[in-house]
Amino acid sequence: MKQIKRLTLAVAIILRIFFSADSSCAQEKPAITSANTRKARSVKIKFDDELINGSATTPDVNSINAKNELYYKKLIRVRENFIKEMEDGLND
Amino acid sequence: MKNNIIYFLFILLSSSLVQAQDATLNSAMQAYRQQDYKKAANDFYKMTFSTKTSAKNKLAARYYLGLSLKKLKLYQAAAFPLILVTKEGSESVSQKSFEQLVIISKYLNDSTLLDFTLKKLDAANLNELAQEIYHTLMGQALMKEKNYLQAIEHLKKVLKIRADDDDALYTLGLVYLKQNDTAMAIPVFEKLYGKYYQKLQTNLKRGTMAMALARAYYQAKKWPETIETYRQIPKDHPLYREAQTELTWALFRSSKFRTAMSTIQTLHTPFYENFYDPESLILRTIIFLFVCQSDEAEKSLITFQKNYDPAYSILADINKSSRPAEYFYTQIDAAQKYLKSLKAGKPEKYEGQIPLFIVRAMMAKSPLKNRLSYLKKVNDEQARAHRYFTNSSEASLKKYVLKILKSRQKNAEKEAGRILQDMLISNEEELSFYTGDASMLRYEILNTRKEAAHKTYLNDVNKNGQNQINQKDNRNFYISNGYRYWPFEGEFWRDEIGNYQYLGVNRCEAN
Repeated sequence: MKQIKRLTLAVAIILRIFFSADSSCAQEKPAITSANTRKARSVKIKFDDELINGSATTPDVNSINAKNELYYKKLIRVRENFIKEMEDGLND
Repeated sequence: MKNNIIYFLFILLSSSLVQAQDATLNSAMQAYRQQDYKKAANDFYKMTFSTKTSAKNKLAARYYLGLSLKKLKLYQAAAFPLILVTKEGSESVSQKSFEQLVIISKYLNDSTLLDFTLKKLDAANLNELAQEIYHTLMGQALMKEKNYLQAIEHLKKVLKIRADDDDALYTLGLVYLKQNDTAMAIPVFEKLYGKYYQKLQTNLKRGTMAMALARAYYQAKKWPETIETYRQIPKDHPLYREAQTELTWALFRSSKFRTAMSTIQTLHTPFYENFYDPESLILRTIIFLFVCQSDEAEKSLITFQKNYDPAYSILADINKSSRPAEYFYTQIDAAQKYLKSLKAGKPEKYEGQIPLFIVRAMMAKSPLKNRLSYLKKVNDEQARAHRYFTNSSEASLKKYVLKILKSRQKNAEKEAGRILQDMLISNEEELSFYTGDASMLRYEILNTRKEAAHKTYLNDVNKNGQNQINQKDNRNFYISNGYRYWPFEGEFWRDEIGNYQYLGVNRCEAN
């Protein structure tokens, strides 16, 4: 009986060792996976789409003229019509 | 029996009286038909104020008195009995009187009479001439109230009756311009100008219509057409002076500065020195400024200040004080007397307190111009009445006519004074605007000078390449001499910040 007990214990220990070895083997897999992930992380980034085409923005003729017009509009009153004078001429 | 005799006598007397009245009416009517309007007017007048005339005959006499006086060109006096008929007569008679009143108010350009007439008229029952006048006047009145759509409707009714009516076409074009619809306005004014185009260039209407068309082109910014049309106005036309200012605006806006300067030069000769025209001096300054003639621009501004600053102070003083309308009429009278003496070649001393060039300019503008023209018509009628009614039998009619005219004259003078008073207030505002413009222009002149001085300075600095860095030298030359230009090749480093030195050359225009 005592022997049976010892045998049982030995079998249990062996089984334990076996399963623990199996689990440590199982833990090795993630190590490999993590190495793969590192490979996957080195993503190639393409900058082509986000390339900014820089060019010097210089005022063209129109905008220079527009600025001038605006500038003079502020300070000089230009005659737009002669309606008041035409009303004076009514029935002349 | 006795009573019967009295009754018989009364019937006989009254019937003979009626017969006598009818005979007088018939005689007056005959004179009217034979175009002896002076006699007709006298006869109708007597009937009107006779106690023996029946109410019916009195009404007829009043109506024909109005017509006779109108035929004698005593319009103001004619309006008086006709107004009474519109109040007392039957619908048909009063309608006929209104027809006559429309024509009279149009001739006299009397806004009070016009308002009275337009309010009470039934346009559908008017004859063609009265309808034309009525719809034109309604169009003008509605335009002033900014009711443009209805104004156009009335004016188109006139054009259905007479397609080339001057007043209706002019008003229609003006309504379109007020709506800023130049595409519609231009054909209207072209039609109007085309009507007079074949006339002599000195024709008054031709010049006036050319001016209207040029203004329409101006509003549409059609500069070549504007310039060409303004140039159709001859030198002796009353609108020539105004045309020169407006032509200068058109030339200026089409960037023809030299031609603009040549045109406006005319207005600043001694010939026009007594004219109120602040706008032309401001415009002259603007053009000088655009051609960078700041010295000339300043001279123009100095002339503006010399002429208009004192005028502005005088106007401000007059507008502050409360004076009766009669005072302002004395100013008009003084200006008229002086101008008359000037025209006669014997200039007298000007007695007015308001500067002559201001009163003169106001007299040439509506509504004062209209009121003065009305006053002239009233004075002409007085002279006509003195000339027509010389017999003693016509003394009562003469007195009646002169009484109406005197009363109208007094009211018109008072109104003219009040109009001048109002115009002076708006003139003060206008001058205040121009003074503001002058201040802005002064700033611009200083700015132009500053820029010119700056350019001269830069020119001196850049002169002959002295004080400049020679671009042919290698960069290392500067680096070795203590200048740091770009000490690193290609890379960007944070520690470069603050160490850049620009060695370029100033490329601003020297002139």
